[in-house]
Amino acid sequence: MTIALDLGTFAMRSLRRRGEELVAHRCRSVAVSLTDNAARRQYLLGLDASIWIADGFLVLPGDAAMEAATFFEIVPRELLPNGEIPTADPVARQVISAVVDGLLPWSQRPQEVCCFVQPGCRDRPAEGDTGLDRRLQFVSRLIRLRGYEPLPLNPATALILAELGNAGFTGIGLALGASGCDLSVVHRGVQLACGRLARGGGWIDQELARATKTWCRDALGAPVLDLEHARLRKEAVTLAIPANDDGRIVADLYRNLIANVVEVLCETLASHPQIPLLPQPLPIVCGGGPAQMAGFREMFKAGLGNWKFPVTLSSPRFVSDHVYAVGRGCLIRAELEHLAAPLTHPASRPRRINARHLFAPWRSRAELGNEAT
Amino acid sequence: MRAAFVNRSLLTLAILCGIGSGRELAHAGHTQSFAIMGEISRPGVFELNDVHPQLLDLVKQAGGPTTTASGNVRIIRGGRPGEQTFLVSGSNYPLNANDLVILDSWQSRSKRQDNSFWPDEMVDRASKGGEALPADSMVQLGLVNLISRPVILDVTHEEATLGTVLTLLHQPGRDIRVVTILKPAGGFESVACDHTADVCLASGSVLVFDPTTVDAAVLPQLPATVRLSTKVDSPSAMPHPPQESIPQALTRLRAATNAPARLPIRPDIAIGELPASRRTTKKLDHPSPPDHLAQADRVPAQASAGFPATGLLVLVGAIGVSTIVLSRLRTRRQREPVAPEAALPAAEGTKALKALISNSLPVFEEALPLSRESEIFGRPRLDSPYRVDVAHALSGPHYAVEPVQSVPAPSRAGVEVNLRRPADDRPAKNIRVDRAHPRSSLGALDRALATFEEGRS
Repeated sequence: MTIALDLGTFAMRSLRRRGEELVAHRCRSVAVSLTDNAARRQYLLGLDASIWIADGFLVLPGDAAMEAATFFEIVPRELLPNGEIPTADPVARQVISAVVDGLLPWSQRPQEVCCFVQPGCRDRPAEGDTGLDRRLQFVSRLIRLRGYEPLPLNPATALILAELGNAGFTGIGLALGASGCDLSVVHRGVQLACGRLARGGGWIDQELARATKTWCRDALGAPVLDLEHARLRKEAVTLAIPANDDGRIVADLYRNLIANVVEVLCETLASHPQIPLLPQPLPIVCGGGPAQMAGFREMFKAGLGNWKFPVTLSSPRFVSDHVYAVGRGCLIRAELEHLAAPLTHPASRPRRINARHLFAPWRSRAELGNEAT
Repeated sequence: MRAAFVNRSLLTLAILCGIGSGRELAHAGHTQSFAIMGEISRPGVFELNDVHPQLLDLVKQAGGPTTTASGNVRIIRGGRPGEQTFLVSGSNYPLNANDLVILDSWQSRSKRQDNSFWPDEMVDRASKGGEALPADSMVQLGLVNLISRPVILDVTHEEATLGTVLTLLHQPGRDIRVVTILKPAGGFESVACDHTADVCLASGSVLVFDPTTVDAAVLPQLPATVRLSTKVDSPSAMPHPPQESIPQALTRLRAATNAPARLPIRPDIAIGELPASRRTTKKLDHPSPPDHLAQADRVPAQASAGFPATGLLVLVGAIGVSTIVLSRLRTRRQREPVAPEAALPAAEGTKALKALISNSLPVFEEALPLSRESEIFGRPRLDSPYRVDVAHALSGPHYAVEPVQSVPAPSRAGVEVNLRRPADDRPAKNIRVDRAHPRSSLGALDRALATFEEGRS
């Protein structure tokens, strides 16, 4: 059984095939910490929520955290701030481990492949890139503990595998995420170049919250940006026709983001000498949560038209199912890996050899002693 | 005279073959015993020269895992469970002497867990106990602390009760008193030996005895070990079967005549009973032994009565012919392409891949199975990385601030006076607390719950 794991800054997802359907699990990448008392425990257990106890606090992960944050007026904390696995937060690391354990069922056989995506990871870590290797080690270890062989993949490459099958898995992928935007140029499933912009939907939420002074207070009473509220306000906006101040601010921010993304695209296309040799026009596919905004497609096409690229690009395609597109691409990669690798364990042999009619029977010393005499 | 000579020859042969009370002969050189059972091609007890061999080496020496192995490995060490690992290439897991390694099947794993997102067909198979077991299938048991090393046994389903096993081991229940059963699906059970008749044993169970209560003098011949070299790839990696029992002699005979280039089969002896028609009456003080004992009894009896040497040669030849036939049958079964059960055939895999690429498979989202209540270590961080800089956030202070007057440092007596008369103190600064934004950690729901609790109390 192959499985795909998409660890995102906004949500963590897993996808696997079960017969003629795909089974998915999803969980928000947030957690809240509440001070522990009997009334809260009873209330949360009554909601059938998963609660974990940490040094006098109740930690709630995932979607239950968002509900509890609303009830108890607490700011939820991101499990992957800026797309990074936290190094100085042991509670967050344990929560991530538990969530990954929930997303991945036990493997049925050894050496089953789990293709995973982590914000900012390339298909293969570059030699000498110890920072990126360390970032992948934590998740790789979690995957191995569930019995799978981890296979890292760039999110943009996963989009290409999911959407550009009819184009021979050749083209440009653009995955817009909460912590950043990943870019990948792929030829026949092989990544030639990749790039990343450390700005995404989360940056837009922060800027909107600062501009509109959308604040709340954290558990210590300090004012913090209310990003969840800002996100809801952002999603109510239409980029093409901004009707209010919120709309104008969001449209400006998106225009800024698209300009940065296109700039990174230009640099990426110019970085590899073989990219101009690819068949043109090169298809480009775009996906992710920020790309689902109303009016984003027109704005993105307009942003592409303002630049001159070293290769000819076709009209950009947009992913229909932005929630599981990356997961589906990872699953395709895992299935390809599974079909390509031969079965290494020995073929089934007779498990037991019933030789009870051949081998000498059990004897007691007394019986043998009687026979000898 | 001739009969006495034959008897002496048989006795010498018996001693050389190590037929005895189960006590192992001392091997040349110091070797350690390691037992492996479960979803492995050749379960048994192996002797290695290495003091702490790697788990992967032992698994390779035993032929590798079967296709129904889940990869989960349990190690019984010192009669206690708790060690668990997973078969991963390159993993480093040294074993200790007399470790009992159990390779779990996916069936035992599915019974152990209560995950709700197992595929339906897998759940159905697990609930039904997997495939329908053939009528003559055996139950594999591990015995720990019975002798100085672990023992792997096969018994029939009818004999797979604790009472029957103790009977076959010639250990009366009143002496053994308590046996601990480590179940294949996890957990253990301590059984008093006066209620052993109803305790059924599943395949993969491990029986842990109290070594002080085992009567080693009456133990029957137990399955022998297989001596191995620690290096898997070396030419001398072929296991050398021990010389002390007849099964190993038959194994060597079969290996020499067939010449297939593979390791010999495991020498484990299965305990079984022949049909009732072949049973003979035995003394009441000993439990009725299996019927192949009765059959073997006739051979020495005939030998002691003057069985000629030619008859012995005919008997050996007949056994050799039967082993040749069995090995050829086994070889033919191995050569037939047997597709592993859960491996995706190439055609089905390609079809699934095409469906994935074409995005024609529907996606069903299920609830995420997380543990309801557990404990994690550490203190959660309460600060947020998105703090607002107060100096930039506020246009100015929203309270009136009076200039601070220099207050002389109070003397000790003054401080004491202040402490004694707090009512006379006047604050140096006129600070107003903004009641519109109380710094309280209790929200509306907490206050409601607290009120509810107060009302109940």
